[in-house]
Parts: sequence; C-alpha cells; structure tokens
Amino acid sequence: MKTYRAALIGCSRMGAFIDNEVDHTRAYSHAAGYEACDRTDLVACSDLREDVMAQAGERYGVPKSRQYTDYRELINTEEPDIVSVATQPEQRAEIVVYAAEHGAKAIYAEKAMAASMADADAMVDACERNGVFFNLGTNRRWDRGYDSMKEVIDSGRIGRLRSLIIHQTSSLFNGASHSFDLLMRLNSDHPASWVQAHLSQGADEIEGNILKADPVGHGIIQFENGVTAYALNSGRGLEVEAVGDAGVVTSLQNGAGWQVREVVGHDHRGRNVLGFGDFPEVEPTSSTVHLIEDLVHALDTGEPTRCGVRLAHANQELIFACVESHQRGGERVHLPLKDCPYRMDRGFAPRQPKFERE
Amino acid sequence: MKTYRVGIIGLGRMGSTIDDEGHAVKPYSIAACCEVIDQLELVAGSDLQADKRVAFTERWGVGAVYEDYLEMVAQESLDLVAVCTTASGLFKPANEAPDANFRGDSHADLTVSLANAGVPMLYVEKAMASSMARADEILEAVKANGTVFNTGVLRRFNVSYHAVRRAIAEGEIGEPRAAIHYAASSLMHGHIHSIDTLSFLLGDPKIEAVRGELLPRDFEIENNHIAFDPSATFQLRFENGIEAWSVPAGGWEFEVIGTKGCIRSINNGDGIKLRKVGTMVGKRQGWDDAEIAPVAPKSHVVSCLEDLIDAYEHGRPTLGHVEVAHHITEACIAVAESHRRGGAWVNLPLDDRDLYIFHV
Repeated sequence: MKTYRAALIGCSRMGAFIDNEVDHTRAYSHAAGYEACDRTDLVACSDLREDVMAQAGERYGVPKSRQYTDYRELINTEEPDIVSVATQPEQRAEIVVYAAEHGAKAIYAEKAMAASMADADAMVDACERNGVFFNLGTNRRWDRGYDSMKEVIDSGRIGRLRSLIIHQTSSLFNGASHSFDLLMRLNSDHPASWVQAHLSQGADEIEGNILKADPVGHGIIQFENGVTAYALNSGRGLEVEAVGDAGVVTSLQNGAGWQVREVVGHDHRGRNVLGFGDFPEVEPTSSTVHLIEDLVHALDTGEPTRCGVRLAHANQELIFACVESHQRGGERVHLPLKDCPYRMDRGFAPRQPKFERE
Repeated sequence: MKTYRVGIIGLGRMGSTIDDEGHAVKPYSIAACCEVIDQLELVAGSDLQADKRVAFTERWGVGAVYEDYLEMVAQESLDLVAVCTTASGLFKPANEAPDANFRGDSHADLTVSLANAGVPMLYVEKAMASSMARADEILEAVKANGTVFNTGVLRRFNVSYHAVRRAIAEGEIGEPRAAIHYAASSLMHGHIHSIDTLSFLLGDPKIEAVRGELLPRDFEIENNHIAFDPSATFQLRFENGIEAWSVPAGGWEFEVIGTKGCIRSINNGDGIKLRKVGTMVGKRQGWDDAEIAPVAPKSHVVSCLEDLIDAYEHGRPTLGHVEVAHHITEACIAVAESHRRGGAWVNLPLDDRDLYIFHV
C-alpha cells in the first residue's frame, strides 16, 4: 500500500511541539500525526527559524539535508504528496497557493484559514484549479466524541435540531475558527445566511481595515436550514449544546464529558420535561491522525475530505462577518460577504515552542 | 396576629381560576392563596364582566363583588389589592391593539389610582406598565404613598430560584461572570420574567445597557407604538460587568456561570444542576457535578404575598420593590429600543419614555 510523503512548513507549536504541552500521548501536532499514521512519512520540513527546524528535525527524524528555510525550495525539491502549513494565518495563503500550484496533492493547513477573504478566495481557487485535497486544522471535525454527538443529533433522539450554543467563541481566528467549524459540523455543514456579532475590544484592535490583534467576539449565526447558533463567551469553556425540540445533547469540558437530556414527561401545559439519558462510550483517539487519514483516504480514492477548502472558506467568512457586523454597530451581515476589506496583520514575533515535555 | 383584608381586581385566570390548569405547585391564584395564608382574608372582588363576578362569588363565597373597583376600595377598607387584569385592559382573547392610537395600560392606571387611594399593599400583575412614561408614574405614586408593592414576576418568589441565588451569593460558583436564559419568549409577557429572574439570581445589580431584537427581524416600529407583544431576544450588561444572554432554545432554564463553576435551574425551576471545581481535565481545571440540597416546593404566589405582608409589618423593601420592578421594565422596553436602532447597545435609562408595547 502506498505511503504518502508529507512535508511540514512551520515547525513550531502546532507543527511539531504541542505534544509537549498536553497530558496525553495521542498524536497532536502535524508531525506527530504523520509519525503515528501508517500511511504517511514526514520527509522534509521548513521554517524560517533554523533552531526550531533543527529541533523538529531531530525529534521526527528529518535529516539536515531535508530541512529548508525556503518553503519553495522544499516543495520544488522534495515534491511532497501532502503539505502541512502550520504557520500563522498571515503567511498561510501564500504558502498554500504555492504548494497547490507546484504539485502538492493534499494540504493540511492550520486554522484560521487565512488573514483576509481575498487570501481565502485565492486558496480556494488554487486548490480547486489544481485538484488539491484540503483539510483545515479544526480538529474537532475529526474527533470521535463529536462524531458521536452528531450521531445523537442525526438520530432524532433530541428531536429536530433548533439551536446550537457554544460557550466559548474566544478570539476569532485562533479560537472561533474551532468553534464555528464545530457549529457547522454539528449542523451538517448547512450554509449560514447571516451573522450578527460584537467584538469585546473592537475599537482598540481595528485600525482602518487592519486587525492589529486577533479580536475576541461573540454573536449569532443563522443557518439556512433554520438552525440558529449562539456563539458566546459565557465562561463555561469550550462546551457546546445542541438543542432540539425534544432534548439537548451537550459536550462538557472540551469534549471530556457528554450529556444527553431527553423527554421524560410533560408539564401541565404540555411542555417537555427533560431527564438525563445515556451517551455512547467514546474512546479517546487522535483527531490529528484522523484528519490525516481523511486526506490519505481522499488521495487513495479521489473522494472529498470531511472539511475541504470550501468549508474552510465558509468558516473564514463567518470570522470576517463577525468583524463586519461589529464595524456596522452589531447589524446583521448577510452572506456571502461582498468586498470584505479587512485583513489581520498583527506583526508579532513568533514564540518559541516547548521543546521538552512539561 | 393581624389579619389583612384582600380585594382582587380582575377575576379571571390569575385572580381566580388558574389553579384549574394543572400546575404542579399550588395554590396559584390570588384567591386560592388567600385561603392558605392565615393573615389574609379575601373579602371582595371587582371585574367589569358580570359573569366573572358571579363565578367568583360562587367559587370563593365572596359576596362583595363590584363592577367599579374604586367603589370596592371605598367600601371595603382593603389592606391589600391584587391587580390581576390584562395589561391592556382589553378582555381576552384580544392580543393586539385595535388601532395605532390605542395605548391602554390597565396595570399602570390601576396601580397609580390604588396607590393614591391609600391602599397599603399592592400585588400587580406583570408587566407593571406598557411604556416607561407610565412606569415612571407608578414609581412616583408608589414611593409618594409608601405603598408596599410586588409584581407577578413569580420566579423571584420561587424557593427553587432562591436556592440558586443563595448558592451564587455564598460563592458556590466563585465570582459570577455571565448568565443565560434559555427559551423563546415574547417580550413583555415572557421576558419581563426572564430579565427579572436573571437580575434576581445575580442579586439585582443595575443593568447598564441592553441590546436585542424583535421578531420578525424586519419589523419596523412606527409612531412609538408596538401593537402586539413581539418575540424577542436580548443581551444585558450589568454594572458589575456581568453579561447575560437570552437564548431562544429549549425550555425555560436559567444558568449563571462563575469563576469556579456554574449553576443551572432546569425544567422551568423543577431542578438545579450545580457544577463546581473538581478534577483536572488535562491542564485545565474541570468542573464536576456537585450536590445541592433539594428544595421542597412551595407556592411562589404564597411566597410573594407573604413577602408583601412581612415587608409591610417590618418596614422593609419587598423582594420585588417598585424600584427594581421599574428598572426591569425599563430593560425590557430597551430591547425594543435596541431593535429600533438595528440591534445596537442601548444605555439605561432610556431617553424616549413613550414607546408603547401592547401586551396581554
């Protein structure tokens, strides 16, 4: 069976070293995912910081000869099947477009997808013109627990899905990219029709059309199928409730626990009284490996990936719709966005990853 | 023990018959509650409809019934009057204003009149008024006359919500940071409850700003007049920095989230779920389910009336005193004001006091 050659661009935290920050041993970083997946070999890596790249090379067995400070040289020389782009969003589009235009067959891009809608548009164009499979690193899309949650929703146990509530939206690019993707996934990826949002520190973080920071926001997303999502920052952390007309299914503590409430009776006015039901057993597995396996499956069969560049683009559009809504005083912003002028440009120095396990 | 003479204005559902609807916790109507509170003696009733007066006499054995409430007040030396009419003054099932000039506001009319007539204790169905101009009149009249006053925002008097409020006040969830009301609702009939309960659970801090929207979302307010009670969603910002949302999903539940846990009133007050700092989830502090003592059900209307009596006898404010009722009404009407401004945050107090919202 064919083994796909993977290359990592961006060897820092999510690229190679986030595994040192967690208390489990399931593959988390891109590099660890390629190492854990039977069908992939990490053959090359690239980073502007040679010390970071050297550490990643040593950890994952990428020889010095296959470490590149110029990602173009890596792509042209190594001709990888799969390219991971684990840089910050400001640099994402340039690399993804180059990889798609120069032979990559599949791309695993970190979230958020891009720093502007123009960048996101260019990524869609490049991937689709070149037939490149694409997954965004919104890992809960491949998490077996959320798969079970979606199965509960789709089974009808909670009746017809009406609303989704996510208790942590956080910063739009870093955090809400996860939250929005999860909302999309649980709602079977129906398109959104409008967004209404508020950015907590908006006035301080936006200069003209430039986002000088990744803004914290919260708001409402209306999906075309009638489901409304409430993206809050309630303090409960990343917990999401799917509310149907006959029950609720909730993920607790960032997917560490699950709760189903189903109709057990009715009150004097016929309104549902909910009791607690069983949630399927969930065995912890690596969502990063599942994401990579999804790319492998696509390369094997030609079938689409679970995310794809269009859903990644839709996720990005929700982020910028939040910005647009805030800038319009909290008005509803209808999708698709037209002529979105905003771009994130934070200009901060990269942080050192944790090379040793804590 | 002193006994207080009670009269009811509006001898329909809340005044007399709501116990027939199958509520789990009784008594519920004012008349039924008077039967179980030793200090209250139901002596009179008033309604514009003769059939309601007859039914009231037959049911409760009260012969002193009046078409004119002012005559009742003059004749019966009442200590406590319960205003249980519709808010608009129209007979049910009317649920919208008959025309764009209609500004009926029965609760405001009666409350101002009764306070000025010297009735010492008032129970007034919610919402207390249909515009802030009329709410201002109530505030002035009740304060000027020293009237002891509660409105029918009954979760405020429900012992199950008291247990939630007590747990929050005792620090069970750390410092409260956010609150959520779950359930779709109309603005004046329903969200007067949800805003009041959110405020109550948090200890009634002042609401600084409100944003929200009415449904349908393209509804335009004309001539400072809303002829029906619209469905609505809202956000509140309290002066202590706590934000609250109304999420129109599921049944009536309330949740307060703090720095060390969260507490949720579930199934419309029929249970409480407490989560507190527990086991670590990775490097993050997890919240585990925690025990909270079960609460024996008690009629919230009985509690409300007992609160009136106790406040009257001890010269203390009621739990739902007129300042807090006025403030909650203002927050409720501010949702419509925000809708008018495209969903923008609206600071309280409202500049425009004349926006009228019809409700039953």
